[in-house]
Amino acid sequence: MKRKVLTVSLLSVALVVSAAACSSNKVEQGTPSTGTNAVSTPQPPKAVTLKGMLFGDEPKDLPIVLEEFESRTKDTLNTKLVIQWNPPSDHKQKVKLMMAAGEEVDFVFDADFQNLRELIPQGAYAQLDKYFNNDEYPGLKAAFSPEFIEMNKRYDDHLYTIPFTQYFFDIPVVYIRKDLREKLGFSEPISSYEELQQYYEKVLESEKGITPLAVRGNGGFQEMLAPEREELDTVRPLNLGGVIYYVHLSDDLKQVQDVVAFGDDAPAWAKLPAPLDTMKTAFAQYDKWAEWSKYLEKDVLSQKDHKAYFMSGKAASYYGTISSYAADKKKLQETIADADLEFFVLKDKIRNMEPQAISTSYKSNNSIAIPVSSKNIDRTMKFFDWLFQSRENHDLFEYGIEGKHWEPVGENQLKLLDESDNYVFPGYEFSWNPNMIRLPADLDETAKSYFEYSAKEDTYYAPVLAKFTFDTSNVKGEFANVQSKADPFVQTLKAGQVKDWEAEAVALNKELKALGLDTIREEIKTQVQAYLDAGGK
Amino acid sequence: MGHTTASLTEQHFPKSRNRGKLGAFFFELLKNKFLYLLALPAMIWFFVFAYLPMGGIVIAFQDFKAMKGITGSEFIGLKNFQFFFRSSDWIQIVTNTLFLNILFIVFNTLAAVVIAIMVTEMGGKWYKKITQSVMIFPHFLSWTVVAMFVMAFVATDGGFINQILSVFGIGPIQFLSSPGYWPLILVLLKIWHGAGFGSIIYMATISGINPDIYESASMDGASRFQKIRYITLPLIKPTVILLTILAVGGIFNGDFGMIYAIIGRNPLLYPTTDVIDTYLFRAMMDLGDMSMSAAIGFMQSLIGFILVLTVNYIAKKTAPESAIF
Amino acid sequence: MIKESFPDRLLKGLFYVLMGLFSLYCLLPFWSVVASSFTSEASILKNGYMFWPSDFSLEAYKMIFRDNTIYRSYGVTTFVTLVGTAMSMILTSAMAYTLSVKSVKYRNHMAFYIYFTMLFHGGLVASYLLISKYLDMKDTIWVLIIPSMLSAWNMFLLRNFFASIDDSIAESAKIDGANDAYILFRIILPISLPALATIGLFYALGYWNKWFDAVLYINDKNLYPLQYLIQRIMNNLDYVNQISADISIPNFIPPAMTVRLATTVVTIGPIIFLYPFLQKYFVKGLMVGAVKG
Repeated sequence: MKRKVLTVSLLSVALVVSAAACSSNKVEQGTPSTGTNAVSTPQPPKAVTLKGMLFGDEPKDLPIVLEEFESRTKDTLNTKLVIQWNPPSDHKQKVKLMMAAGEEVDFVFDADFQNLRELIPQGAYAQLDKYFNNDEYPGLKAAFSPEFIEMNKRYDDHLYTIPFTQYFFDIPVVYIRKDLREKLGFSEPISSYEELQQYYEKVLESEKGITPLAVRGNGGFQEMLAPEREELDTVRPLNLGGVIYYVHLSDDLKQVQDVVAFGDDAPAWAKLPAPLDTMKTAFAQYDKWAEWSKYLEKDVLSQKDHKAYFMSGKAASYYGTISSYAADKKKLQETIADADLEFFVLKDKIRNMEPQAISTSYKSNNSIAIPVSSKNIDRTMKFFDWLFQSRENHDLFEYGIEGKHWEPVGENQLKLLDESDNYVFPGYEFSWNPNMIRLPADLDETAKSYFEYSAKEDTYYAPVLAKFTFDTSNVKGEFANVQSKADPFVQTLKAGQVKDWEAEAVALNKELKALGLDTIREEIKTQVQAYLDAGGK
Repeated sequence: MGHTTASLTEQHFPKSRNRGKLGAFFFELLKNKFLYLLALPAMIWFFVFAYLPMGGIVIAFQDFKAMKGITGSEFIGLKNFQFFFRSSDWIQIVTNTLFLNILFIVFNTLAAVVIAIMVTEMGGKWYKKITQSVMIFPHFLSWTVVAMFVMAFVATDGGFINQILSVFGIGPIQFLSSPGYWPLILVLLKIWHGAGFGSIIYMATISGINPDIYESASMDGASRFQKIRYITLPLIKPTVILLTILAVGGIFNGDFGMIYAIIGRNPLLYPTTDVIDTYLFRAMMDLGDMSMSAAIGFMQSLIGFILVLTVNYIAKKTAPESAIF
Repeated sequence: MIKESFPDRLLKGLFYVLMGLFSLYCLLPFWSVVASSFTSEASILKNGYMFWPSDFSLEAYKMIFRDNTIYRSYGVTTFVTLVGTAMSMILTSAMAYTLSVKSVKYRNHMAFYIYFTMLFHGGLVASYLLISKYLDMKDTIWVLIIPSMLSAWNMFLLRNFFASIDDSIAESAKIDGANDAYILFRIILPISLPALATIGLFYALGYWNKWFDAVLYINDKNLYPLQYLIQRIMNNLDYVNQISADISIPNFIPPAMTVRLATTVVTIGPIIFLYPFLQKYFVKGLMVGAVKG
């Protein structure tokens, strides 16, 4: 799964941005602003302090922003925010401990890679369905389309989160040293794998000491060289604990026929339609990976920071995603004076910006959840309602004080000012919304067009089983053993270090069977069938 | 105090017998009242901060759910323990854990003792002071920082060791894909990181040795080596044994901080470096199950405990002054 | 002083050489951390570690000290280290002494009672409940001291030191009419200075390096200990490598290499000077000789 970041998709909902009227430079502190137009209760509600837990580091200038927020909303929200910033490595555990101790907190950052999957079924979080598409919460209604909310319902088909996203998919690319490419005689940007390979060959040949491609040890080639083909509705891949399972559905998509796992024998694969009917064709990229491994550094499996390795000038390209383009380019130019960065978009369809090119579950990967123990659920939702009522409100949190940290450029661009370093706010866990994206004005045109492309609704489509999530609780022991056994193999495979991968996959599969692979397979079958029976697609 | 059994079996003077046992207990408390009073605050502290939370061990036998808490989660017996022994690699992993820990204990103790002796034998003010200070520096570098150095040394392309080897026309050696080298590398790192610091304990022990003993040995014409062999070493033996017994208790716990920082997730090195704690980390990556982690932790403690009881029993027979209880 | 024989001097010379080499083995990487922390990020990325800053820069330190919290954190950590060590030493020596006196009949039971806690822990959930819910120590400076005040390991070590003191010293004092308090404070503790210095150093380091308790129990910025700030910086990097490769954290900028090194320098700076100060206690024959005379 890639990080699907947000979505602009459901643009169908008209944006009630009244910002135009009142967004003009009212930023001096203490000036009571009329920023909120929707709530017009004459008397301010009782003062309340909302306690939240987020993940990461506190922006240095957050107190200034909070002060501005409080002064703007004193008469309307009368709310104070107290945010606790947990170190990323400990957030997960701390949230769990606080839940176990029953401590009160009004909102926490949570996501699938945190505690969400575990805590929702335990009843830790409040259902939020009623706050959306509700005229009492016009900001939420405007910013979160009913379709978006629908796709983010989980577990028992209720909404337990405020989902944040900008784009539904972060486009995977290979970043290339532009200056090196030109120096080696390639006058045009790389536009295909063939050209990329020629470039790598040339690097090996004439640049001693430079590695053609830098990748992270535990990531390997990831999306590189993956075959592009039409997705089949009847055969859906699931990646669970490092093992890829193909769920084979009946033609009417009502019954699970088989679940085929990586490394199963040939007859098992033969049951699937072409080109998935053999492992060789289903995973066509693995042979390529083995072949391309000569472009990686020798100790690739120990590489923990491939970006730094690239920045040091030791590599001619590196694997990444498009979202870090601006920052990486800046960093490269700071480190190596006359270097420049460009990117090669991996997938043809995306490179050519075709519609319906990317499959997504439309599920945001990041969100805020509200513990049931909170006594201020309504007030918390009122706050988020305010946040999404106008660009002005939203931008205050996401970008900081206008004129100090940033300034707007047109409707949907911005220019970061020098002080923006003091306000790097993690919008993905608090404020991201497809309707409120601002791109840096100085971003180059190619990058801009890809961002705009990934913001478009018809770039995406939802495949069959998009909303299915696997619940591990019945097969925990099997899952743990299968994962720890498969993980070393999968890592070596992803780094292209396994030549005869088919034979090794079959051998691994045998070992995994002894550890309970088939139990997991049965569980998948049962759960997917239950999902289909409940009307899921 | 078995006074109930006593009163059943000894019909004749049950009362006085009881008083005798209990009496002896109170008499002992009274006799050493000051000493027991001294120990009391620490005993209470251990009760509150170590024994009260010990109820949490039940998590290992539960399907722990944060919202249900320790008291409300469902008991599932030994299920949390099973997965580890069902894994096909557990023998290898336990062997690695034991092997690496034994290497660490033996070589770190040896190095620390040797360093302590060398430092205390050295005269001279400044040289001694400086070397003594410098050798504890590595202890303060976190393994994350150390790991960055290790890479600079062992990298295949441009690593320090391979650069030197290439001068002699050897290599390059691909350390990062050859598991065989790593027990040695880890031991060297461990000595570098901890031996200087560990020697402080032995230096303190040696400082406590009565100088008369050395003096009279010198009178008798003992050489420096003989004094070390026959005076210093025997006198620091109890400390060596004590620290070893204490270390044995943790022999089933892999040094996760060190091994994970240095080996990271390089599967090619797992054959010699995958220990219980790194295995558990990998198995729990997606599950994050507190009960299963607790079960493994409990098992590690239990085996360590049995080993310590054994070692301590042997120590009691052979060197009673260094047994811990 | 008897003149040393040739082999004795040879052995001594050998010690000098070996210690010199070992010190270099320890010093060089450390020195390189210090030197590299004073260089520019670009230069370290390009050239790797160095023994002399090739492009002198204070950027990393400016970045660390940009946030005023760090000054307060030094204060918090210093307080915790000083007060904590003092309290730990008092409790530990009191307990260790009792366990070292052979006439105390139940000392082995007590030792077992303590040893047991070294191996068996209730786990995070139980401690968290105890400390935050029942003892209500969250967001107080004492939560950094009291729950970790005693270390069984240090206690056993100190007991061993006490036990190695010649019984005859205490015996003869007893015959002269001294009570247990007098023996402990006036005789045992003064001749145990090397041991106390060692244990004190260990406790002090423990308090100085404390950070995980802060993660759990401290939300008030004014009470962040130094290592907590530092660990945040270091752990952010590790974390990115621990989570699945498929998850990327938007806007995440791994801490600059130089910042990682500079944090090391900043945290160990003060504590590393404690040791040379204690060294005078580690001289062969110092203590017993002093008392005897």
